[in-house]
Amino acid sequence: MKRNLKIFISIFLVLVLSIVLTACNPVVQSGNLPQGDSRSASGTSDTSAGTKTEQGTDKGSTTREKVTLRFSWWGADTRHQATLAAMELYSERNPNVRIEGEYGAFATFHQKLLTQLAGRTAPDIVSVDYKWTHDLIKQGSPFVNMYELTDKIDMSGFDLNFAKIYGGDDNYLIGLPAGVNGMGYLYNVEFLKKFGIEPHNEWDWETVIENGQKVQAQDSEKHLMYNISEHWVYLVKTMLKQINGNTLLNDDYTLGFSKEDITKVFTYIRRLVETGTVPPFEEGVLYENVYADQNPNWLNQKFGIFPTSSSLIPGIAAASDFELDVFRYPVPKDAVDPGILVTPSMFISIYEYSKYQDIAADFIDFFFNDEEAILILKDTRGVPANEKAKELLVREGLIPKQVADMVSQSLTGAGIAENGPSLNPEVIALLKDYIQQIGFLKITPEEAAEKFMQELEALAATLK
Amino acid sequence: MVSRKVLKRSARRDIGSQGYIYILPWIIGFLVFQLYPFIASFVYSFTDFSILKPMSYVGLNNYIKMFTADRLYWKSLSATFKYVLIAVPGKLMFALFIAIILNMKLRFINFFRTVYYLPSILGGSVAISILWRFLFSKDGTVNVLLKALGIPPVDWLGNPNLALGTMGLLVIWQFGSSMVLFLAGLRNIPSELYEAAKVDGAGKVTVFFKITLPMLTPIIFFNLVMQMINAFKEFNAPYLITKGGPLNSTYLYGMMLYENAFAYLKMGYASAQSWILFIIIMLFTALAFKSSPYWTYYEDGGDF
Amino acid sequence: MSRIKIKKKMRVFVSYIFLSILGIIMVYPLLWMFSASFKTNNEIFSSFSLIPKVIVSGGYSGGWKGSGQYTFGRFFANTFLMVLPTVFLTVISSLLVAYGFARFKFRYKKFLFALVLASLMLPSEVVIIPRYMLFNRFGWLDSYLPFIVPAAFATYSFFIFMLVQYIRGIPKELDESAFIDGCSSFKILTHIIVPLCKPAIVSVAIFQFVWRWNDFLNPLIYISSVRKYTLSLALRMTLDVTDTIIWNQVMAMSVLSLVPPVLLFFFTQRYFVEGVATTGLKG
Repeated sequence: MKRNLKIFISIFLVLVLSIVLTACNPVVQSGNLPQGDSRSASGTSDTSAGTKTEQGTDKGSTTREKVTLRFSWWGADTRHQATLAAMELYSERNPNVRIEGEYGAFATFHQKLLTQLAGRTAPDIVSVDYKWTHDLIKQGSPFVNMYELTDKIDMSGFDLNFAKIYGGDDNYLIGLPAGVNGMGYLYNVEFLKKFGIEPHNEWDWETVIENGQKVQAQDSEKHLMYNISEHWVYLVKTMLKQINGNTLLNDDYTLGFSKEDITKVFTYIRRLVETGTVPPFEEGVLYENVYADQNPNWLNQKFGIFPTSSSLIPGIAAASDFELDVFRYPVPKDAVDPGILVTPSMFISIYEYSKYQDIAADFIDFFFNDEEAILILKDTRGVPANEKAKELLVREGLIPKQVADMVSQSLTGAGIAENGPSLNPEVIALLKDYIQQIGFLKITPEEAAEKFMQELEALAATLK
Repeated sequence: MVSRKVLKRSARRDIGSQGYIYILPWIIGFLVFQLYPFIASFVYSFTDFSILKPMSYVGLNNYIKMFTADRLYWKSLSATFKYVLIAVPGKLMFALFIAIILNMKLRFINFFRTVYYLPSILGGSVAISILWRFLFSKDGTVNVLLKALGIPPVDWLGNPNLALGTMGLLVIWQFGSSMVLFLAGLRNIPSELYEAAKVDGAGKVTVFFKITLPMLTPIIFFNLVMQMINAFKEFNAPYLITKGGPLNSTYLYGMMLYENAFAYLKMGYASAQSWILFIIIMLFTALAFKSSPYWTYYEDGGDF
Repeated sequence: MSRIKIKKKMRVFVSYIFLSILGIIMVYPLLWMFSASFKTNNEIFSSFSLIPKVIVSGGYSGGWKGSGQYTFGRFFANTFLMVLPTVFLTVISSLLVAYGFARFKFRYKKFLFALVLASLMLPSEVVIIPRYMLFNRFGWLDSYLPFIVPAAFATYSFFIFMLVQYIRGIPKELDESAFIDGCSSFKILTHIIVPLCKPAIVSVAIFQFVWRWNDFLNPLIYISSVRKYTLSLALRMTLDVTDTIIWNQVMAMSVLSLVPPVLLFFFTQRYFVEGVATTGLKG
């Protein structure tokens, strides 16, 4: 019957219309409002929803109304729990403020952040990785300039010179660094002992090869070290800095090295492969995107040294059932610049469109300077970049020895900082490609040097 | 008795508006949820949109650059084509073969069917990437088995010539959904046809080629088109297992898009690339549709 | 025993053997995941045996507790909350729309159907930003509406195409005889098409359930409160290497999250088992 049909269609339309109407809550006017309003639309019992709509930059501490801030970060359980605990402590002390954490894994954080920035829905407090800051700043970084908050946040414990290397410049600072990470060699104590290799802080590149050959001579199935894809890139950059004191690309996007320089580096890479210091690329490339804690060859003691950033040590140590220690990254005696990479673990930034910038600043001040907070957060974000915090943790013995050692070792050889152009992801992808070609022995170092320079120049020109 | 012609005329609910009423939900949905993103991405492809900065018009630059100045574009495109040629037939054949076996009245068949669908449920699980590395590493399960047969170990995922195929295996292994569709299709074949064939004394092979296969062609067609579309767009497999390596041999188009959009912040460029992929997929789909009258059999007589 | 019977028994036997061997390959990853939920971090990555050297407890209890703020109970509930309405609405809307395309003629039909297919062909990476802005405009961010509402409008076009193929496999004579008997098009849909398409309709439900259940990229973009996280987000929440990942917990929760889809599939099997007869239908 046509009537049945009509009835059905009308019911369907009514159903649909009602869904749509409840969804398009009139509270939301434009896309510019932060998350709170869309949350009230989906019917959560958020006490903050009703009261905070019209304020400009909130003078939080003076009003008694309830506010909710959002804070995003990446990590695993220990960091999540510690951060949540610190946030709760802050709420205890400031009962009108509630902070909601938006936490998850690192791998997809960047994509999510970009989407949020595009939609103007980023959280009030955002964690930013040092590799992203250059691009973000270049594209009009929507984060509050930390220099303007010196009256609200006690920054005396921070080395702002260090912070601005990756976080901005003399006029703008994207955020405050949470921790310091240094690059170094993490090694399997038993392995080196077994092969008669001496770990000490004066290794240079020839030592690496010699010891690599030593290992291969005794057991052709084992290798001295393994470099993940990320690390090959660091190796190239560090060696270049040691050879000519320059970053890969100059600030004006011109090449920071000569053909001679890069040929030296590429030749060295080939030697590493040919002498068996590192496993053949066919074998090793499988694990080039995971760290030692997920590499069976490390866990089964098939290689002894894993060059790494200090931030990864706790995770790797938890998975390794043998003793670990650290020693300094190789620096030749005649190095122009020692070159070792020392970086901030992450920046804590305030979103420019946050409606609670003052409260956010207050929370950040608490986060970094309050003793109780520091003791709760411990080293979950690396060795603290804030001197006072670091001293406190060291006094309480809360920083694992290897992590502290690697950071201090790296600081004795800290190289000039990476600049934006050298951190560009397309540049890095290009370099990785050439490293692979050399590693798979598909191309000679000289050929690679020439082609790489050509392509890099062309690419850099488009990135300017 | 009404004449057949009159019956046909009144039975045809055609060129009227009833059809529109039924597809109305889709029309609304398309206009509200899909048209805007469609158009937006098309517009982006002519700009230098980079998510964070306001965009500016660049005309056909993105398209030109793609074909002339992108060192990885052609490599990615060819890897993707190769991948489609491996994954689509592989998946279809396995799915059909297993579906036919699972269509039999065996005991515990429910259990078996669930087992064969399992890989599709595992999908992009975290464990898959770990496991795949395990199985195919130099000391992995596969090589251990080969060793037992006296074959030397192979770098399944490390050798640039093999990595694509190995990754294809992961996708073929997840043939579950195609298989389920074939099962549903097999069940739709009226048993009278089989009975009649038996009466006529037809053998198993004849039955398969003269009854089963033709009746299944709508589903074969569907699986072919959908698997092809998905294979062209594939992103998960390389992202999980190889991240595009070794030597970019598994750098599928989907992965290239993702990197350009979110790693290099070149959303405008990525949009242009996706529209080219869209055109490629559309061409092949159109080809498939054009060819379908020659080999697909519909109960409604092909009348669409 | 007759020769034919022996042959049949042999065929059955061989089938079982074949299915079992191949089946082991299919089920091995699940077995590995299950055993990994009892292994140490070290063992998970260094050996592929199915028996843990040392049995580590707490994978399930610890994993369930999550990072302390919300348990996996909430994440399971969230996922059901998102998936069930979506599946239900998908089935209904896709069926209606597919019926429209498969059984009716109307102007621009071919063009509109091409549009249905076209929406499947554009890679999702580039539409994700505009869609995000769209949902932001509606105020649907951080909720499950971006999934549920489009489902009511057959936006998941895969299912439209799929059902069209199955409906077209049903003889039109059935429709026509019912029409002569005075059935409206809607009654034809409910009394003829649906019963004959049950396996296909069930497949729509299964697929949409599994795909929404496992969907990671979309919840990642649309959901920001941890309180609303679905399982796919929660499972990856603690995968950060600058901290210590407790892998057996991750594995344990991954195994648990497989249970609903597997159970759903297992128990809806009978819709594939029922034979379908097209004669003997009282119009």
